[in-house]
Amino acid sequence: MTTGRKVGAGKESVMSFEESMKRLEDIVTSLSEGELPLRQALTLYEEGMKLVKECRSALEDSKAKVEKLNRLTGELELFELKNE
Amino acid sequence: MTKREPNAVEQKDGGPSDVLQRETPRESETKGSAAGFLTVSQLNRRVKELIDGESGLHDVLVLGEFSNLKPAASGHLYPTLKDGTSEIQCVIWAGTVNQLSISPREGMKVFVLGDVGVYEQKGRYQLYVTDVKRFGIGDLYAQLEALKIKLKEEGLFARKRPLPQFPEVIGLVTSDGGAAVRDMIRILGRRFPVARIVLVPVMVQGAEAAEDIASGVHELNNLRDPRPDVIIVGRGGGSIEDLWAFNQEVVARAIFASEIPIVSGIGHETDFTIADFVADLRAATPSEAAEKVVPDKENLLRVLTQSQAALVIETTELLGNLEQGLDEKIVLLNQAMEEGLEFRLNRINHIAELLASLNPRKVLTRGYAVVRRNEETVNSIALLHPGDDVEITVIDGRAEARIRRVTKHEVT
Repeated sequence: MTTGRKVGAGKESVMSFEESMKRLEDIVTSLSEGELPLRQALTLYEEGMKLVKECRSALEDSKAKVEKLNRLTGELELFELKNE
Repeated sequence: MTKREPNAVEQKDGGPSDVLQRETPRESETKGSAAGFLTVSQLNRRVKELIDGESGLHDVLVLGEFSNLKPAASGHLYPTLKDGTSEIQCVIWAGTVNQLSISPREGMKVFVLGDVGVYEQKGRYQLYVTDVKRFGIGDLYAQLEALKIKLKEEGLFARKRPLPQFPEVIGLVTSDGGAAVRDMIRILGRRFPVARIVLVPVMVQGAEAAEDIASGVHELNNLRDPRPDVIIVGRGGGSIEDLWAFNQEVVARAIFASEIPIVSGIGHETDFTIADFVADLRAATPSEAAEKVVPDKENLLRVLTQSQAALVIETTELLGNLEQGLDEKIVLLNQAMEEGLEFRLNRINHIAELLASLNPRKVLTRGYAVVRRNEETVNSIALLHPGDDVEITVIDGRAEARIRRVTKHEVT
């Protein structure tokens, strides 16, 4: 088990959603400061676009996982909300 | 409940004098009134009648603390009921005492039900008690206030940690049945589906609830995989007694000891428990707690769209700038080339002039001639021998000639 949902899980990305969002913010800031050489700027642009895509699909495709702590065993068990 | 038993205690004298006493005031009442004054008895009678006729003084519920509960020989009680500033004399007849659901004790905070009446002989109004109930909530409130002051002085209410912006693991300490947990899970899942929710089911009311809630908070703090980023301690609405577990010191201590920030969502908007004061953030309800804990998906999607636009704009601008720089360089280059060309043209002209000046035809115009022998320009006498045929070119024609004699100059 890992802590948190990984963005772009299964691929090369190992960043958490939070890390991805913060990285994206940093990239936009770096680019808007406009002091970067072209090659670096283009690399950041590509990385940023990839993060946008990954974060968006994480939000749109995920379903919150709900677990219940079994307080006797300390194990986590899947918890289903009963429909009304 | 036994109603008043008039004449049972006050008129201790009893007997024939009782009759006399009763007669006398009545007699004097008319006399006195006529005479423009009242006897003491008449006055007390008036007061008694006034009070007896006042419905607001019957079946009143009075809150206070009992003192002076020593029973009289008759078994009746004449306690004093008081609060911080006032007191009233009470009468509890022996028959009533036996029927009370509790036995009143010194200092006990109670609700007293009774009628206000006048003990004429002593000119004293007093409360004739028909029932007594322990004021549990009052005790609890007193304890609550004391605990609040204590914890506040210890600094438990002052610590407010920031919440994580994107909590990916959210701990819930609440009952696993009921609306509160459902509402929280639904809201968390809708707003931030990236989240993982770990529920620790606890009892939220009853004698063991406080310990259970405190333990739930500890258990989430001890969880390592996954490690919660934030914890909601919640419970749906209920009476103040239902929420009482969240006023217990053990819960307050557990929340304060939590290394993970805690948001409380207990009861309704108007309910404030000690847990609310100790929590890093108080939400009015469990649902509001869920909303305060996670960012909203729709907002995040908007942020992503904005980021994407910013990436495109910034990069386009950068490329634009570079292009502009390139254009400027091209202009400079063209300038340089034009300047270079002019320089070269000047040079070429100069060389052309030079060349022109070296043109052999120009030399011929000055009267010189070119001698060729066998198509070869003669530039030395050594090439010529007597009898050789040569061609002589001057500026405007040619002649053929034969060498007769050759003389070499001695070059010094």
